Amino acid sequence: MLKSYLSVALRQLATNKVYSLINVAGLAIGLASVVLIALFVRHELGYDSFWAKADRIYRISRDYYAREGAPNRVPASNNAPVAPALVEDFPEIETAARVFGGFSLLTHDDRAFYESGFRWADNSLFDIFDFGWLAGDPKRALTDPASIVLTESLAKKYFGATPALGQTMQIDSRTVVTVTGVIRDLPPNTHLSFDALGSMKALPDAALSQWNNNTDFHTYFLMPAGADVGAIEARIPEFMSRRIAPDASAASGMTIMNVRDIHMRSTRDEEWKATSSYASVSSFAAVAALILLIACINFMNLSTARSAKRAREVGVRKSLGAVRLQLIGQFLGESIGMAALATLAATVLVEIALPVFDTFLGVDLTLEYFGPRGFALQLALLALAVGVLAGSYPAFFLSSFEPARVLKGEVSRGRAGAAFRNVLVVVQFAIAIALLIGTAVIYQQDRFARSLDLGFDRNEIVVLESPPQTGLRGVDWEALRNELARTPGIVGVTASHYTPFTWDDNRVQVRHQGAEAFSRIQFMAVDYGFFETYRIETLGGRVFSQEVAPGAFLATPPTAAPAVVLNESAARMLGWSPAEAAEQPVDVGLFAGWAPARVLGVVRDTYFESVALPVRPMIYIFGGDPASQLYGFVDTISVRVTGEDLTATLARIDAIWREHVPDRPVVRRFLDDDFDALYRSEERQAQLLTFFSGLAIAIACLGLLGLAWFSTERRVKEIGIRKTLGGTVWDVVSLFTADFGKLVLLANVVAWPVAYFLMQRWLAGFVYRVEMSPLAFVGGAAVALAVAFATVGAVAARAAAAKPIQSLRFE
Amino acid sequence: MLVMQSLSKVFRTTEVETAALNDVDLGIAAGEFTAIMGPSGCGKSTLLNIIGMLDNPSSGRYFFMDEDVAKYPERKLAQLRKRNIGFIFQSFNLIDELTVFANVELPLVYQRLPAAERKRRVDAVLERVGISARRNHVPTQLSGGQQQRVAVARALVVAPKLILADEPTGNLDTTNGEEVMNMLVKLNEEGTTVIMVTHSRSHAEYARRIVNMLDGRVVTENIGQMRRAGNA
Repeated sequence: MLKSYLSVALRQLATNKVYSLINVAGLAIGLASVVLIALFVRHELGYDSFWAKADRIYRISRDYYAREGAPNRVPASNNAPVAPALVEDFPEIETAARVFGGFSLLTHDDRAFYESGFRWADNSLFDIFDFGWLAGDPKRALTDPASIVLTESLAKKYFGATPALGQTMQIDSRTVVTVTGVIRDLPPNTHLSFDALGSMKALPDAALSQWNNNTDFHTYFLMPAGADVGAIEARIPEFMSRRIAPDASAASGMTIMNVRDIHMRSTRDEEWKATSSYASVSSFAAVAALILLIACINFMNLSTARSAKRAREVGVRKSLGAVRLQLIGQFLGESIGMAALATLAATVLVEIALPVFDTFLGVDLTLEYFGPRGFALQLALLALAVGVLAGSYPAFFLSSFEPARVLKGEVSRGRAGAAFRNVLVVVQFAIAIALLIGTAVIYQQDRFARSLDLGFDRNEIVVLESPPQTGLRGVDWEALRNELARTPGIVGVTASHYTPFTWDDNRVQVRHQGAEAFSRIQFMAVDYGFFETYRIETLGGRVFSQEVAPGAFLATPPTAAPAVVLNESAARMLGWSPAEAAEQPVDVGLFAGWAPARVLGVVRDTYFESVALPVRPMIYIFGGDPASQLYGFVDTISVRVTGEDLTATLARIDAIWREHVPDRPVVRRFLDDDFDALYRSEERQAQLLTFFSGLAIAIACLGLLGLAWFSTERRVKEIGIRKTLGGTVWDVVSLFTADFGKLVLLANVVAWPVAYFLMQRWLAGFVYRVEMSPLAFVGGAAVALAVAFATVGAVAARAAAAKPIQSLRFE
Repeated sequence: MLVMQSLSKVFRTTEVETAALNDVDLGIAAGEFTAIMGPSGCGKSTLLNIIGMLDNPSSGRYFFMDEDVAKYPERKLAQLRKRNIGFIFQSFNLIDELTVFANVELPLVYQRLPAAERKRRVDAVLERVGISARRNHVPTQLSGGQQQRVAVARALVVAPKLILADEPTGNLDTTNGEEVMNMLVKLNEEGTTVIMVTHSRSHAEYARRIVNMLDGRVVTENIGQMRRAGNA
């Protein structure tokens, strides 16, 4: 019996090549999408779960609560003294470690590079995280201040094939260190990010003892097996009162998070890598499920549409004694077999697509079949599930035919179940159209964000990073600035604390002079020419210039009240209009105590961050005076170029740098690249959604192709009659495209409200957002209709081109 | 009206070649009622298909109203066909999803006539064949005789110069068959040329001229008795 079923199934496949191909192709694409996304979801959910002690590793971060008009601040990091304090105060904590820093110059012989992956770390980090050691002793690698641990790639970069262990390097051209360890490169699915670790012991004690302001230390601790971290959490307020100040927990707190939760749950600032979220991962998974659903709908539709061709077989089998359950089993078996074939094809598609997928998402996914991370069993179960899901309706439908009727030829040729099939086509296209609309809206928002008036001119700005740790202190900044300013191709030079789009969360307290109440305002230290170089409009008063002598902030000896500049939002927060704010006296709380200052002027609000966030009140403090404590902050140079003969201009910039800073490599980038990076996440989302929308439409059209093919087959006699009566090819094509076109139009009625609702929710996450354009909806409908018409039209034209006598003779 | 000279039709498959028509010479004048008879496989339906421009001959010449149409492309043949020829098939070949009215209207739709004109002509022809009362029925709701009357109506609605009927009574009982034959005769008396393929000798006798075919050739011709219903 099984042999008979198998031979019938194989014969069905062979004699109906078009349908078999359409079915297998559609299912394969759907299954490949599911597998790719499953690999990605597993990757995302598995961040940091591979550490041997992952269930016991926690990170503790500082929380600053919202007040005085400033929102709460939640850095990923913590104060420097927290790690040793935890070990002292909580005996149940086994050990704790810190990781700090992010940019230093490493040198070995003639190889010198700024490494953004350099950090300082406690040796106890190696007791917490089990890195893959290739050389060195994790027990002692960073116990000496003059030590450094490298990853495998970095070791190769500086030392080539020579073993790195025992070699010496320089950090920031000052500190000589010895390589005491080499570890494997960190895998992609960890929140940790570093290429080299220097010893925390090399940092001065002063830097390691600050509580309130310095939160750059990512802090981890290890609990014993089975211990309850909730007991630690409950005692944190008391810990803060003891270590920081009695009322410390009124204004701030600490949050503890297991290391496995960081990637998916953390929404904290200053994470080393972009985090994800369950919402984001779920939406990927939902898209994959929808695509598979569309593919399964195809299968159901084509199988039931062609049911009349199997009707006679069903009638004969039943008349020979087959019961319904046996027939269900036969047809389910066929669909499971088809799904198995499609799964094999899907694995081939996945292997082909993976490298591109990896590059696009910046991950390193592999499809393993066997072993602990193998997918073979899951693939087999997927084939079974899809075969049963897709094949169930056709199996029940086909097995329901009554033998007496079908053997008399009374089964209407392919009309049975037509209404349900039409519903399925509408569902398929509704899903595809909704995805298309979503894609269009995301692109609209991305274009809107990119074209928004940011309040400054981000084009043609070259950013030069000055040496870290020393900033411009080691450089004759005035001479460098003046020479750059005189250079052909350059129209503006300035320096600042940081540049737009590379956010550094630093706030100061600002109040009307002598008042009690104050506001926390984001501050930026800037040099002369900042507002001119960035073309930020002055709305009231003036900005810093050499004619005005803005004064040195927190200088020794102190100068008269130095000048500050506010943006519109900061002036408003302090109760002033742009005109009113000029010459107003204020107090600024920075470092320790209040320092008097005066408002020189007010400038336009600027979007220095993503437009997903509201514009921040800002206070610009002059840091260009070497006597000011802020002089070391002003270490990032911005150069506005004309854009003409750019190559020559950049070469001149490099030459001038080398002349003034001979011992540091030039590190420059375009501000536009930072801008692009801000929106990369949305851009990537849009691209992914475009890809999957395209897939959804392709699969829906495959189904439509199959149905149209079947429909023209079923109506071949009708086509012949119409042509005999004078109908043209166009008349026949119009007939078929109108039939299917109505379904696609109906799909829009379903898709539009769903897409509108979902995209409204997504857009609500942006402070500055585009109004959804009707064009997105009309465009989605137009694309779906065009593709459907092309698909059906091509099939109908092919059928209509035949001579009428061929179809009439056929009858 | 139409002249065929040395007409041949060969059907080729990968394995075999079949000569359905072999050097046929035949002329039919306007207003004639001609029956074509012969055993199964003699080529009569093939000949009818070529006359009706549903197929092209493999060789030879075919003049339809003085135009040599043998090598015309399908597009041109369709134009000639829809203006001049009405078809009546053995199996009616109605479209099941369309009503009687819509089936009969279809050729006029393809001639792009305005709706009002189409309605006028369809109403008239439905009345003429006596099927008006069933205008809103679909073919599956009609008997065989009724379906064939609809097919006749559809053939007539374009006011054709030529009616081609391929076994028009083949699926009908005697009474209905006689009715259809009388309709064809009446049409012929009104000036329409009728060419009919039939197996039935008695129905062939309704024609003025009977062409006998065998193995793809015209072998003999007879004068028909021009029978009428009730006139055995």
